[in-house]
Amino acid sequence: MNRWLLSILLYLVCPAWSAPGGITTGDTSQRAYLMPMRGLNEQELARFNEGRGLFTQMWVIAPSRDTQVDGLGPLYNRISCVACHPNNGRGRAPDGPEGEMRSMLVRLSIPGPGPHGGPRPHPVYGDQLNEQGVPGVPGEGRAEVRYQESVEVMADGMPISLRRPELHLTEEGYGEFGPLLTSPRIGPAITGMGLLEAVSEEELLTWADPNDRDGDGISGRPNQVWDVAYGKPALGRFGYKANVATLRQQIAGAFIGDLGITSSLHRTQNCTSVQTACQQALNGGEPELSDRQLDDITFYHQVLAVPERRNRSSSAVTQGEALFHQTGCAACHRPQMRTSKQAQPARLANQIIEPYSDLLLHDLGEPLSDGRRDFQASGREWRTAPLWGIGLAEIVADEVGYLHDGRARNLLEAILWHGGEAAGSRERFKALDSTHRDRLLTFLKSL
Amino acid sequence: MKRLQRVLGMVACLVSLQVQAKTQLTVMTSYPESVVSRFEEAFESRYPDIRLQILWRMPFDALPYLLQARQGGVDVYWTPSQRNFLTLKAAGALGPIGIDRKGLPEIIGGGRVSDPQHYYLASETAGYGLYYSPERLRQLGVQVPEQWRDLTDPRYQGEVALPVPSGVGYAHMLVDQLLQSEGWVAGWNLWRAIARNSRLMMSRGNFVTDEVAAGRSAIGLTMDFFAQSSRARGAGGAFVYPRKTAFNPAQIAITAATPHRAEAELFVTFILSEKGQSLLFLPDIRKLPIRPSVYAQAPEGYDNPFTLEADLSYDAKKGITRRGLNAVLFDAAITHQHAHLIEAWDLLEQAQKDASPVERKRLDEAYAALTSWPIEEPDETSELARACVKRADEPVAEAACAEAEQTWNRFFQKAYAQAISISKEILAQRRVTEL
Repeated sequence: MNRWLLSILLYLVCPAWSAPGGITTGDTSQRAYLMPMRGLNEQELARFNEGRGLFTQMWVIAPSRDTQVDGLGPLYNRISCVACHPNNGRGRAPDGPEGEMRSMLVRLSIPGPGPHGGPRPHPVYGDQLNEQGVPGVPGEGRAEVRYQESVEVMADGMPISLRRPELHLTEEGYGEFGPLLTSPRIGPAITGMGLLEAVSEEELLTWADPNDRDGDGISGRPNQVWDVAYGKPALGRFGYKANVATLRQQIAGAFIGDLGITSSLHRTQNCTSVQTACQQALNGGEPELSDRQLDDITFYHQVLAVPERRNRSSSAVTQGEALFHQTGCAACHRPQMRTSKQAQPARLANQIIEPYSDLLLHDLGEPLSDGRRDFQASGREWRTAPLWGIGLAEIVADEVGYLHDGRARNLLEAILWHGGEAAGSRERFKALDSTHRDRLLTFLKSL
Repeated sequence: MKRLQRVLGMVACLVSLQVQAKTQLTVMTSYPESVVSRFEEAFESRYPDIRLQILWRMPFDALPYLLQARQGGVDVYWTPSQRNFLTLKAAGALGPIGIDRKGLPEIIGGGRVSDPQHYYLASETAGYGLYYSPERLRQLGVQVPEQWRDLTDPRYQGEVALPVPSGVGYAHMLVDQLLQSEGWVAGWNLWRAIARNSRLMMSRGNFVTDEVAAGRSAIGLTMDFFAQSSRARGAGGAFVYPRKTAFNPAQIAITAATPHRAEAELFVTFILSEKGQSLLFLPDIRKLPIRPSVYAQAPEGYDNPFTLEADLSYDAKKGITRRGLNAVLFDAAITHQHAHLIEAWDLLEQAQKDASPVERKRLDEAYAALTSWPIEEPDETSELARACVKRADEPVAEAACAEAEQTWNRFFQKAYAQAISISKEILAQRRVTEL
């Protein structure tokens, strides 16, 4: 059966998101992504607060008397998690070459497979450009983004300006970069990650169709990645390429990659063999982030409430929702899933959720490609971005970007960048008149 | 082939551009990301040839860092910690600030906020007050408090969120301002009376504003910017300054060792400029500018310390010298004995109802135990107060302060137990008599 027809049928069977079990928040203010799920007990609330404290913590260079929060660097991007996820929301790209990467980073690799099938790190600069170094340790360089503007014309003649980014690395701290592959990424919103983890692998795999056997042009497939905790292959579900297996590993990866904070999952500092000053810098403990801290910040992510949908019954939203299905968007941005009965924490179990994602990889075409393989994801393949809460993104933060590299300045631009498997949906969207386009966008704003 | 072309294209893009490196200015601060990122972006936009490196340390951790050789490479220190600026100035660790200070007052509410020799300058200020839910106060049948004492009203039982100074940095001055305005023993008894109605906020991760916004407390003692920022971002609630309160200014200084004095002065000038000061109005900051003229641009209803009808007199130096001792006393008298403190007062009031003259005499003993205080107000020469401030730095000071801490823990444990025992004894006798 055609996948988007199936999607519509499923949606008709389960028309309402009933009894969401306290996992959502009705807050529509700038605090919308900051709220805990309802009904946390005193102990859980204390853990939530501890985790929040770590997420908003400005990390300190070792040695320090603030021993619980020292160990920043030696190489790093920003000094807090919240810098790249303002108010737990999405980051943005610089608007031009003079702009700094305030909530964006650049992944680095060289051609060829790396350990366990992941990207192959650059021998000098590692797997991520760390622009900052603690005093005495040079930063690795600076990334600049320049844009080329182009115009996309809708079927009704309305022109839409799009900007295509070009990345330039400058101010090399450790010699020439040489040939390398890059992939810029803005910080994503962090709500709902525990619920995504709570969906069973079996449920996700039922939506995979790697060889497009149903012939609908959509061939979602899972990424098989390396589970660093258990030392074995696993289904990937986090990150823009679904290249991380678990939420805990995603968080520990960000701590080492973005902040230079070690944990039991990443015990060595983020210095390559030629970065001698980096290797000689003092650390903030071994590891710098304790398991208790990693557990607390993971718990914080797990129990952040997801924004409730708004104006669900308004005619503009219902029409927009129908158009979302008719144009085929819902084939990948799957409206509903059920979490596993065995999920932990128990409050995440057996919930019907509306992430608007299938967590699978899809080919989005050459214009979005980063030309860089990440486990089984090709350069053109990206994980379907969850859309829940996206309608509040511009309330939560003043300026946000969309898509992995923040090139899209609004949702309309983001849709128009979709290619590959999503090209048909994009063309159907372009064919809509302005009233219907607005309704589809109104629906997205209601998420 | 297409893939190869793409890789080669990317490589071509990555050929290093010959650009002139920017000057890096290192700023140490204890401000949160929401403050730092706004100023960082605005400054770098105004001065694109200067790049900021932010080093973050809490004041207790920043001081030794700034007193080390070459001051750890820090060019500018920018933080709300007057005690650090006083110490750094005394140590010769601050350099001159050669900027135009026109339009920048040095005194607010009778209190000096900038250094008389201008080694450090006030950059913003923030005051203590009460964040509350108007609806909950109506339900409790209480008026909006006008003074701290109003929080002792029994209708507030369990409804007050009270930060503890040993865990929440901003609570030091909150505690001390009441001791200064009420007097040493009377002030501590007032804190114990307020604590009787309170839920204690033990760590900096536990926000008073969250307690009130989530309905777990009707009212909380906090700083204006926490409350006003929460309100501006959609949390609801209201904020009021008591008639007598205190303001805590933040300051900015240039280190003596900086090799980037010109750039550092540009940064200080920017922070104190109309543009820099107006950033304080942003919803996620909501601090009070130090430049009076900028209030003309303030959002409607924004508090203005230059026109506020409140008594803001407070001796900051006095508070600084005894902050460590206050924190130890607060924990001994309130934090460690909170349940006993509440039980002792509840039993005493129960026993005082219809008490006979004989009972009243015994209950006076219980009252005396409950309001007893183990130490007179320390003056500026107090060795113990000095030891409790220095306890993290000096083993001898730690030993002296820890010894006092243990003594006071025993003192309050015994005193509250005595009050509980007397009250229970009288209530038991009364029940026997009634039978």
